[in-house]
Amino acid sequence: MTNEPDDSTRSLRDNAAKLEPPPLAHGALARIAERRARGERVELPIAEIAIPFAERPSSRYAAAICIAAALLIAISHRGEREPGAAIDAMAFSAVDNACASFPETQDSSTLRHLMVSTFGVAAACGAEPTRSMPITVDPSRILPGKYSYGGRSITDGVHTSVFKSKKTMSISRTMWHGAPALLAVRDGPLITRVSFDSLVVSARDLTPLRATITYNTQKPVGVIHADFDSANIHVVLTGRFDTAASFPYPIVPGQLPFEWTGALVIPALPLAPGWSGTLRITPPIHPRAYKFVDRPWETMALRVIGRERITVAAGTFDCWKVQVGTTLDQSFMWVSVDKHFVVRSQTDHRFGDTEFEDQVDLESFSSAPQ
Amino acid sequence: MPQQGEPDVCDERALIDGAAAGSSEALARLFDLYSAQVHLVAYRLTMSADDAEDLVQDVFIGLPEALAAYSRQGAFAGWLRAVTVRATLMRMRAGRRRAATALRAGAVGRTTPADGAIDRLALEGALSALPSDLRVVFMLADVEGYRHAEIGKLLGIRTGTSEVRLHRARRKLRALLGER
Repeated sequence: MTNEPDDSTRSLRDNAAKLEPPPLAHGALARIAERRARGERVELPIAEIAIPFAERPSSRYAAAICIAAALLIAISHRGEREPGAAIDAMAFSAVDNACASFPETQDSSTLRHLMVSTFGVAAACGAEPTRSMPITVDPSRILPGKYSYGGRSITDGVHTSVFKSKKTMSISRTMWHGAPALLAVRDGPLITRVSFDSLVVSARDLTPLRATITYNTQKPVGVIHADFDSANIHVVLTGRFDTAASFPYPIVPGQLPFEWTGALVIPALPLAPGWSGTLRITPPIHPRAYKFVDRPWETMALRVIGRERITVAAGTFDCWKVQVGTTLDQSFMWVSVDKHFVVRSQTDHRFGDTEFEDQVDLESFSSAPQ
Repeated sequence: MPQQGEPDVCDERALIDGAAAGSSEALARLFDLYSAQVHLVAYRLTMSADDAEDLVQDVFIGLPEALAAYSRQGAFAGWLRAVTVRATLMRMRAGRRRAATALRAGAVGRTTPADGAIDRLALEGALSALPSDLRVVFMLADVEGYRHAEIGKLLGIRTGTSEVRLHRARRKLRALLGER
């Protein structure tokens, strides 16, 4: 992207510079002298005008606007189309987390990015066919190791903000009650880093077995332990709330919460030229989500639309280019052909009259010792 | 040598010192030299002849006392321009704007100038119709030559926000002027 003005911009600038006010009214200087002689004084702003943080409208209203938007969108989705509820729950969960960190970060852009990202996902998923058969997964394609992702967002095509934090994901092979399993540990989410998650899944079919989520920004630190059986999730919360409960939860091979999809499900897909399929996504593992969930799963359509060689900080990779969702949002993933992991994901969002292009790249990868 | 119309540096210092000491003659001379600049900057930011004229009055009424804070290090014209910009922004924030602005959105129209130049009246109309937060950034960045970091400090916004506002201002101006 270049900041060099084009002809149209130069024309605007040059013509605006030629604009002149009407001549000053006659006797302006005399009026100044007269007013000063009367003792009138004007205190001019010599120093820079500093606006306290709390008085900035964007900061003062950011949280309220985001939460109101979440409520409105959630309500409208529930009434209009069937698959919105689970993603609405994700939105609520995300807002909850973002708001939890807001007092510490005082960063309204974090909230905004999170909301946009969340709703971008909602828009992409909500448009998908909902009755497709679940796809098959092959967990042996998943490459254990440590992955680090970084991202940036471009606003209105002109301003680039780089996410301050990195998202790291470690995947290792382990045993769970005598059966082969995969342990994934996530330090993130990318933007807020309010939680530190781990998920144990079956190495046979990716069914979830146990999840642990730690909310480091909460005081006291909140922890969720979740165990899965064939149809339920049993959740134990400690921290601000000490409680335990069980909920119906769909246990289907290859069906995981959205936040784990990129690391565990996408690499296990048999991507190939012309391949397409529909992922099922379960609600997030968060107790507040269940209040809003009246449907056990969400869907996300994927389609391989090409093969591209791209370069990111972690290296150059031969990738499948995968279209995510349909046309409501332009979302794509680039998935390594031979290593199967996600190299880049990119989503264009629209939030009001503001356009965002979010891109997350693999910055480093080190394979785990076999 | 100073060009015609520009004050000699020594003369200028003497005028500044004189105005700061309360000399009405020195203030009058500074008014002769710089009122057009103050008027132009205020007009560009407000797109209102009335507001711009009020600001000229305010700036020169307050100038003798304000000169006490002028370090005499940088160019006086630049210092006065910054003071004018701040005074204009402060006035706009306080909502102290005259009811009658020079041009209203009704003046905006599609322009088809034969030589490709933007019609002056249409441009004034478009700038008047532009939201003030966008117009201010456009004028400061594209016309007055401020950098985004400086605009950010002046307006109390982030540098990136200034960039985004400039982009939106240009886009909106083009739309108002009927450019494709």
